[in-house]
Amino acid sequence: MVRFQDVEVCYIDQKPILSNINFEIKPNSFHFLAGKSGAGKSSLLKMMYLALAPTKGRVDLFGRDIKGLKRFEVSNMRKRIGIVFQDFRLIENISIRENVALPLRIFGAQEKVIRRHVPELLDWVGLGDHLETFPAALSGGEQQRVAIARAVIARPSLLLADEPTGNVDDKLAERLMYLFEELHRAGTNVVVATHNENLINDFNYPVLHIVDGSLISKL
Amino acid sequence: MLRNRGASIFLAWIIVCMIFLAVITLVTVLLTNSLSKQWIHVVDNVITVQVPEADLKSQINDNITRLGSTLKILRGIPGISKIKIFDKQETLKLLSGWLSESALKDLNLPRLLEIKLHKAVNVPRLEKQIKAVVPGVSLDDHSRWKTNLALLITMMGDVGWVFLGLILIVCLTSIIFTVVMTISSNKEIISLIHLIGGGSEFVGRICQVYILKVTAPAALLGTCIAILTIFVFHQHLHNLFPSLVTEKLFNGGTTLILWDWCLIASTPLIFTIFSLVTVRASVLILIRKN
Repeated sequence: MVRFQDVEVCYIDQKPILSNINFEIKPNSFHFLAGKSGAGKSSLLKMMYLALAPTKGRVDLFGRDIKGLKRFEVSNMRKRIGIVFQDFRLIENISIRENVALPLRIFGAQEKVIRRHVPELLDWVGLGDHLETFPAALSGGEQQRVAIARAVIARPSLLLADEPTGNVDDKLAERLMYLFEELHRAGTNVVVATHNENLINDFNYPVLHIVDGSLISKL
Repeated sequence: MLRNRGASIFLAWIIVCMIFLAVITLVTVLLTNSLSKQWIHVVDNVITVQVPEADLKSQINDNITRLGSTLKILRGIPGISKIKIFDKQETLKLLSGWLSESALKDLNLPRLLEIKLHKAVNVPRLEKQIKAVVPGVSLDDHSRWKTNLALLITMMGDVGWVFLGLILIVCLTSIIFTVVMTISSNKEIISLIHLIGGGSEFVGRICQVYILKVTAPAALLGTCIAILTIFVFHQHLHNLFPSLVTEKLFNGGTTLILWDWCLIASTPLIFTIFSLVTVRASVLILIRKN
């Protein structure tokens, strides 16, 4: 599914932010990506969703080296990935229904499919009564759930969540984790980047731990 | 989804003004072209003959006037279907628009004959033949006037098309400017669309819908204002000069044909198609550059 081999990332004239990264995520898995703020978790995730290329080494995604992918191949590969951004990245001037429907529109889904799936999914994340609400009217936790709904609506093979519990209380964080578990049981590979040690301890999944730009795997 | 209210309002007003100018220019070009065709058709196959001192006796035959001798020769020429003789009053009426009554009183006017042809006649040879009997007679087949008019109309048409081209360039430049502004002010949304898996084609489609919502109503409004202006202008013209040929313009006459009206009505459509192609091309170029 995902394989990193001797991966190094550094910006021009700066010391590497990630070095000697080696790991593999097998199909049907759930991983935590742990580490302090600024440890390099987001950079690692960016490589997984093809927003950042490694300076050295090789990254394979769905069995293909991400280097040298053509523009349309990158688009096609991203269609198989769902991303929950740390800052949600909801579009402010459209309703949450339209925000969640966006991936389906990109994939060219029929309008009747969109009309059926979007309310279902928003019900699933507990926002079924807010279809026409705009993101600014929602709390941080509600916006996070909209972002999750948008990330999973197209049934991605790989779900990448960057600090999905960073803006919510412990109770809601736990509830979001149950949502991810449910997705995992439905066949989605999940990678959750977090610095919340309690969460990692409460859920028994393998952890990819990043310390000072290096990876320490813990099973 | 995309936001750029300031640029949209700017673009809408530019398009209203430009489409207004484009329709007015188009109507002017089509009208000029059509009127010139009508005028040329009127004078085609017509020869004007001027007979100075028409009532004096002919040099060859004392029993007949110079006008009579001219008519005798003309009636013997095959190809002439009709001869109209203008009397003095009619000739004065023709000149009254150009010269004052006092000036006309002192003029020794020639008699005018209008000859309608049904087949080609060798005008220089006919003139020579008449002059041998009635010296001083002149024949005019209007060829020089027709050539000059055709040249003038062609020039006006060319200037009109250049003007239309410039208007189109201004519109398309404004659209490109708006697309650049829209893309730069919606970078986050476009980047999100890319991360979700939307390619440049999808972004291009969104931008097209966005620009279409601005340009199509603006183009339609510009066309409506232009057509309204033409109607008002025509009404004033009709009140000022009731007999002018333009009175046929809106009464099923021949001045503007159905095809011309279709062309005028399709101006906003043609423009919208041009703008959509421009949006798509500029979005693809901009995204590939970034």
